[in-house]
Amino acid sequence: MFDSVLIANRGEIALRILRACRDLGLKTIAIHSEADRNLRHVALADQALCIGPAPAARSYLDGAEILLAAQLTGAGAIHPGYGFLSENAGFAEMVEQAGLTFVGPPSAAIRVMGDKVAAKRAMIAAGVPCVPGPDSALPQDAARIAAIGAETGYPLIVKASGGGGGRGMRIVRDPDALIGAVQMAREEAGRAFGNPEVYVERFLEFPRHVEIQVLADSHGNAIHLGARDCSIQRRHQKLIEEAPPPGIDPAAIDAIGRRCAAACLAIGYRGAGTFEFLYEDGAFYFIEMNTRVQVEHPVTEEITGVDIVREQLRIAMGERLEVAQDAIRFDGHAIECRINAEHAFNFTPSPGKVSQFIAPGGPGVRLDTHLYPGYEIPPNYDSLIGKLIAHGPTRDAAIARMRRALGELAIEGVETSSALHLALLREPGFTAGGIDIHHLERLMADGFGRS
Amino acid sequence: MGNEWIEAVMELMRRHGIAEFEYEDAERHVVASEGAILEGDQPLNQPVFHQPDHAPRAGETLLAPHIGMFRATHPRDAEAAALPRLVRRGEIIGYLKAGALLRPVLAPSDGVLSRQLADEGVLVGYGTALFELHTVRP
Repeated sequence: MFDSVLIANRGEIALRILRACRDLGLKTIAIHSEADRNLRHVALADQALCIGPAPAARSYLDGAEILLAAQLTGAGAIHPGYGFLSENAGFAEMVEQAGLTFVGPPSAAIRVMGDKVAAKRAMIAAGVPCVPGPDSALPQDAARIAAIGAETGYPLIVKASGGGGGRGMRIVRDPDALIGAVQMAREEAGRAFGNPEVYVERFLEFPRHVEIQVLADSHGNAIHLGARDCSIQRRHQKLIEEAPPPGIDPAAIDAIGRRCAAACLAIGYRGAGTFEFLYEDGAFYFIEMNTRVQVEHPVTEEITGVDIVREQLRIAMGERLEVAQDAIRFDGHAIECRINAEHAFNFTPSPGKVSQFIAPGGPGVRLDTHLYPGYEIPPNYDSLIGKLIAHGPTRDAAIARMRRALGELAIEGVETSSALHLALLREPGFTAGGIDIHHLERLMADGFGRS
Repeated sequence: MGNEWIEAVMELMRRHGIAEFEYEDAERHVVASEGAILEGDQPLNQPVFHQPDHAPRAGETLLAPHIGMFRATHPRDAEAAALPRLVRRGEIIGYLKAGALLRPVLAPSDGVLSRQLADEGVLVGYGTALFELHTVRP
């Protein structure tokens, strides 16, 4: 049990966490970098402490300093948000060993799910379907690698066991290219993640990105909150997310969701989490688990009415889940557009002073943002400045409300991704629903938005 | 006491390899260090700088390099050193305590530490103003 939470993050998610803490009567401690003194949640927090200069390595990624800040301020818990240290098992372990509460899963569960090979093994054991391929890292012997490649089938993808984000990945279509691709992936993975282990799995050509939101408490209860479709991506970065995924049978989502919930119990998971799947030809293939709250969690909140951040905190406080699986009701459709401070079509970052900011409103519209007029967006961090969420009884109604909201949203002084979203909401592939993860890249290659 | 006197002092320091010289009477307080001179009225809270070729910089605010509970003295020392006082580059001028960890605050350059800007025992963040230092630079 704790009565104060140190928010180890910045921007909109830090403000989101602060609001959930306030709703629960918890005191808030905002830690921030020198560049973030003027963040909204810093002004609102019960206590604020600058812990380092702007570079994340010396502030939001400095686990030892964050832990010292928690101890100095008397915080009972640390909420890591997303990104930064949220999926760092070593940091979670430090927090646990210091006798504080990490608002997230146990460090052991983060460690298992952070190793993709170990995660895949755990999911297979728990009955969660995975992409075809062995549940172990590749051996050194070239002949054995070739045999594993043949058994997996082509095309296949070589992936780093210890990381993601496209690094240490190689798509192989020809068996003769496998050994070279493995060597390059190993070198890249070793440099990027300090772990040169790689594994292979079948490469799906045109999958959708569909993910299952779960919640698990420490009393043996785990539920799923349905699925999200996050297939509008550019370079592995999601831009638009929606729930439920269009065109997928709710019964199929419920079936895979229940397996995910069961897997949470099997691996001793606690808190909020997301099972990410590739979805192709009616089948789900587990790719990885995110052991934290997701950027796109609001679309699930909108269709279920469950406050996921509040539940994270309650679970961390040792409380039971308030709602049982069979009591979850899915209501309508929700879409989220990530508003980034960047050029809408060439994606050049656009930090700077927000000279004007007017939030949209009206039925079914929610904006999670830390912006205010006069706020200076620093160049040091991710360009996400807000998440615009529209909810409606149907997908068409949600799209209409999102168009209306994007039209009302006024952010001046910096460039934003709003125009891209407006264009996508009128694009026939998106409006039809069910597009694959390469859709946006194909559109951009064909000159989408240049007119 | 004019420039001739000060120049004579500087010459003697050079000749005999004396690094620092401090003089104080009822009217003035002079500190000479590494070829530069600080002179101020009593009390020394507004130093007057002489010798344009060796002009010390104006008061510089020293910021906390870490978070911690600020202490101007080591926990085993009963009394804080009086200010203003001459400090050397790298000298420990304060501490930031975090649990069992005691992290020193170092003087970034030679000079006169004139004011303490943070209260003893308060939690300070990175970049909190701790001291005012009048740097001596030849």
